[in-house]
Amino acid sequence: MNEPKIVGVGITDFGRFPELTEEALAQSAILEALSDSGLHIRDIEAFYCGNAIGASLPGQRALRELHTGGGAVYNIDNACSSGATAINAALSALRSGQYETVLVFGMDQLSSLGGGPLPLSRNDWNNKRGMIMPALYAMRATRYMHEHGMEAATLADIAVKNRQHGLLNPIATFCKATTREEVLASRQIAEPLTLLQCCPAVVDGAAAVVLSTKPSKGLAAPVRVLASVVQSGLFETGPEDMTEAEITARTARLAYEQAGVGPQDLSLIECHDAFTISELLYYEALGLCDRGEAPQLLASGATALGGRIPVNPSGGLIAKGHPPGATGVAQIVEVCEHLQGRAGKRQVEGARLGLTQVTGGGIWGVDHAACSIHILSL
Amino acid sequence: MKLSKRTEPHFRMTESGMLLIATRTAGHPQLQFPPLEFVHGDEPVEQVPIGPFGQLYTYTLVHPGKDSEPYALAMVDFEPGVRAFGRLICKDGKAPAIDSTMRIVPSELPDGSPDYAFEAVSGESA
Repeated sequence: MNEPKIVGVGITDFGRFPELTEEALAQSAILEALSDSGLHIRDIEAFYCGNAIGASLPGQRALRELHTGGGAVYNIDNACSSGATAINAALSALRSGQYETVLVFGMDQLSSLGGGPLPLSRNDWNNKRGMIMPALYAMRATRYMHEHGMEAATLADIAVKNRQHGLLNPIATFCKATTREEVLASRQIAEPLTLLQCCPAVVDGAAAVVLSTKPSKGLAAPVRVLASVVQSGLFETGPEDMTEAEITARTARLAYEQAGVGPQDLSLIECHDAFTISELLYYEALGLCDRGEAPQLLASGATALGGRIPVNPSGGLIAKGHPPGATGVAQIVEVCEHLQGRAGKRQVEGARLGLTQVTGGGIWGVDHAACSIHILSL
Repeated sequence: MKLSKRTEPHFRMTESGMLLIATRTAGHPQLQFPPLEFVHGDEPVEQVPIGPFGQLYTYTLVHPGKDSEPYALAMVDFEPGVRAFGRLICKDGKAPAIDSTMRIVPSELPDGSPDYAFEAVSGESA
């Protein structure tokens, strides 16, 4: 059996498109990925759809008017990890020999929801008492600041850095440059997190990748998947350390082991910066620095474009927004484009190895419900 | 199928103050709060009162928007090894300092049903 590779990618603009539907956005990404792969939709044996917010049968809704050959559609909801989990499932099917060529796409349209944080289960113990995702991360930030003496300005600097990156990304349609002062002065959401420290929640978008064990006919070099790991949250009711992103650290350990590489080998990272504090916690969980050293790593410039290990060269969720079903696939598209040398003005020069990390879900008793990490190379 | 829903309340009023009720079973001896809601089979469920005092691990003040009042949330650690999440009462709009001693006080959920919240014991604002 040949190694499965990514042979085509596609992505839509990320922005507010209330006049469109998630199906139309997905179709745009799918058609772009097919064109990039040099394949026809009838070459695709199965489809994997990541979708977190939409109604039932999202994959079939999106594919209906593309005239597929009727191959299987697998719909996967793992909250913000939906798209990356779909890629993991597709790789398993390719590696088992079940299929030779599949397409994975992620999509969500949030502009129809009317704003505010992502909706969570109303039956959840914490959510009944007022928990929202920004509040969970704000509590992590409060504790991190207490333990490590971090200033609020450091949080703001993540928002500034990622928006600087996003300005170089044509799909980040409403990204604007900002300053530390503007970030800190923006409306409080959950202290210490202000509005500009939270990824825009009302965003629509889709992304798609074609994976195949056959020789590539694509426009760009095929991309290898050295590691694909999905983990779920451990049930914890004791006094756990909320400044440790346990599920990400655990998933990263497995991914590095699977790929036979370490954090020092990486050229770039796309991580789940839903909130500014998230990116700092993930620096430590992914092994870029020791515990408590994330503020220093950020201040050194190492994680900015041109630095030693650029993090979120796409602008991340903070600059692009976060349609949760699409995010995990969009991260993969971004890393592929860097490895293939076609990331435009934000290109990480000499990119050889990239990592994507996405978490998912807010339910009581677990750090996160899900985490997916992929490591890619040419 | 033998599946039963527990109906015992998750808090208790005592002379020393309000307590939360954690649970554990022989199969899962780690204390759990919120307590088990459903019991599978005949395994006995032990109820363990926690409180009335704990330590503030972290907090935030949530600003839902111009049409809703801000509210505070907290994680509070109790002996022996239980962390509870709930609403935080901020006197004079000031959150207590991290590691402040907290007590459990009566409160209500948005639907009016009785619940608990956390309040600093005295004068421990951030």
